[in-house]
Amino acid sequence: MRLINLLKRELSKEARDWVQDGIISKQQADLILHRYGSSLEQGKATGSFGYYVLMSLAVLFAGLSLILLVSENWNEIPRWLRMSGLLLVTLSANGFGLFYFRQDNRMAAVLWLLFGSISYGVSIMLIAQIYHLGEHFPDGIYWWALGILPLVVATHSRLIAFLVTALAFIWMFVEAEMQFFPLSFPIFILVVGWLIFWQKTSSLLYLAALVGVLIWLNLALSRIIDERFYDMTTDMALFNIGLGLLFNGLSWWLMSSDVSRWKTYGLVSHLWLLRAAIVMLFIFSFDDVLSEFQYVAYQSFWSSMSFLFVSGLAGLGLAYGSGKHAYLPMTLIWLYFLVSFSVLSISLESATYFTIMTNFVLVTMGILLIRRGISQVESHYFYMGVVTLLILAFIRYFDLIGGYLGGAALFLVAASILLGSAKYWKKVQEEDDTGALSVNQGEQSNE
Amino acid sequence: MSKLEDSLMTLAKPISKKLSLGLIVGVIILQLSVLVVEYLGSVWPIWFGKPVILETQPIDPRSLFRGNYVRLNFAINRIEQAELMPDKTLKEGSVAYLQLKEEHGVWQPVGLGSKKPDTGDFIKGRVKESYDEYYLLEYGIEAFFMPKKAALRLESETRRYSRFQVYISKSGKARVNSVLCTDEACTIPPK
Repeated sequence: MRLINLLKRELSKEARDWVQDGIISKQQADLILHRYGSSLEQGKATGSFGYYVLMSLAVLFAGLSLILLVSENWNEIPRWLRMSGLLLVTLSANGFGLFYFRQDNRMAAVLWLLFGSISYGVSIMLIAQIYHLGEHFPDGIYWWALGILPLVVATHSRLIAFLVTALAFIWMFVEAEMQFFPLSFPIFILVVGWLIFWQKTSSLLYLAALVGVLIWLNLALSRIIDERFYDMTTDMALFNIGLGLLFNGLSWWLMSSDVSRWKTYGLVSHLWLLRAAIVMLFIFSFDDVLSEFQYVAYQSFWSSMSFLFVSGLAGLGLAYGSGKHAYLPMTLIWLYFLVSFSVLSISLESATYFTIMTNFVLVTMGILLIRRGISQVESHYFYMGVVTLLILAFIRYFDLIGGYLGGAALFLVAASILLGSAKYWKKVQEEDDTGALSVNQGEQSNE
Repeated sequence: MSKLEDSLMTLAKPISKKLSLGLIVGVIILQLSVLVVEYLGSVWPIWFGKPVILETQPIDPRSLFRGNYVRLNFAINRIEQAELMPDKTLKEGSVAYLQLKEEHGVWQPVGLGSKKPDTGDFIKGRVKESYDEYYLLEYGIEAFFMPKKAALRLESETRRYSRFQVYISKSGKARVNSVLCTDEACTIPPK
């Protein structure tokens, strides 16, 4: 799937200009935009949208003001007055929301319900403040998030979903920080997931949900392994590489779907996972990182390796239908980590060899990205490949592996790989051009 | 479109307005219920509980949502195992009941266990950390919310200790109510 799909609003604006200038007809514009899951109407700068954004921000600011106002702790005002005042604000805001919802004025309804949702959270905090509740305070955040969650289903509002997601994240972090496991976090992700996959489009909420799932799974595994503390051990690293491959496979599957918003989500997560994979390879390209792993006890090494094997295989299965651009880099990373960690578990001295190998894997990734960028006419991948190779050259020039001679040898081998790829590519290109020329000549002689 | 996609797309069916309205009404009832339960849980020990006096040292931090408070480090937050529970061990996170007895107007710990005592005064807590020699326990009374200036004043005025009035319900649930005195202002001498 092409990156242009992430620029639907801009594409729609361009098409409207072409129609206005008489370059293409309205029907043609709609047909073109339909290819990208867009329409002439999408992204039309309307006054109501700007009004909605500003009003939403105003509600958010008013909510923050309410939190700070309550934080001042007005001891001189009687408890009952403070409590009934805030309760009245919460009920009134929700009541207005209900009223406007009945009137089919969704925008006003959502804004009032959003304010009611913030006011409800402030009420929880106010009771905790008045009665000095020193108990496990994340419970307050949890009940706040849970108390507004059904509004996401009722209103289909991305704004309220953002508030729920933010609260769920805060709850997950403070709960984990206090050594408790946030077991119910997936409930929030499931509801937000339902909204963004089947009702409304939001790449930001999709990314947040994806990151949330990854963090929650990490916390869960950490709980299984250690019970108390989160630590990025070898097992966790293998588990995350496996998850990355699985999610990348899912991203390719989403990109091949017929549903426009799923295609967009697939592309968004694929891009971020690709960046994460390159960053991770860079981390492993340093001499002392793999050596560090030698000192970490392999607590559940073979179960982590089995997970990497199965999740990688599943990811590849999902990505296979999308062609070699999809499965080739995935296979490379999958096999590389399977082999390197298997050998490392037997011979701890082999860490240096794998560090060198990681550098060559990065060179290969760079080449594959440049190749993909040119063959698919996608400048983003092309530059990502170029930047990967340049950063690698920069890092390895200063952070030498095996002294000056080792560094020189590394650069020489990398240069040979690049040279070989360039020659091979030129050959393939020439063969393609010759093939195209003979087809053209054949067509002309037939005419 | 694949069969899987087809079946997944059944979830895209829009929700009826009637159901949405029902959900919003449900949310209002749910929010009200949460607030009522929280309120009743907060006032129950104050309405029906017994007041006791406990010694503590206040420190002043800020909560992101609730404003300034003094963190109360009660003497009963740290319990020496050998003294009160020589043979048994409590797991971290488990519920614990601390038996209390009045001595010169201040309630002191006299026993610790995982079972609710049948008689006497006791407070319900949770084991935060467990060590060989002692337990660190929490009772839900460790925060006392005050305006910022008052919180800072209480912290600076307290050089050694202060005393707080705490209400304890029959189940052992406790609520801190008010600060009684600090240092020399406390007429009852410390233990």
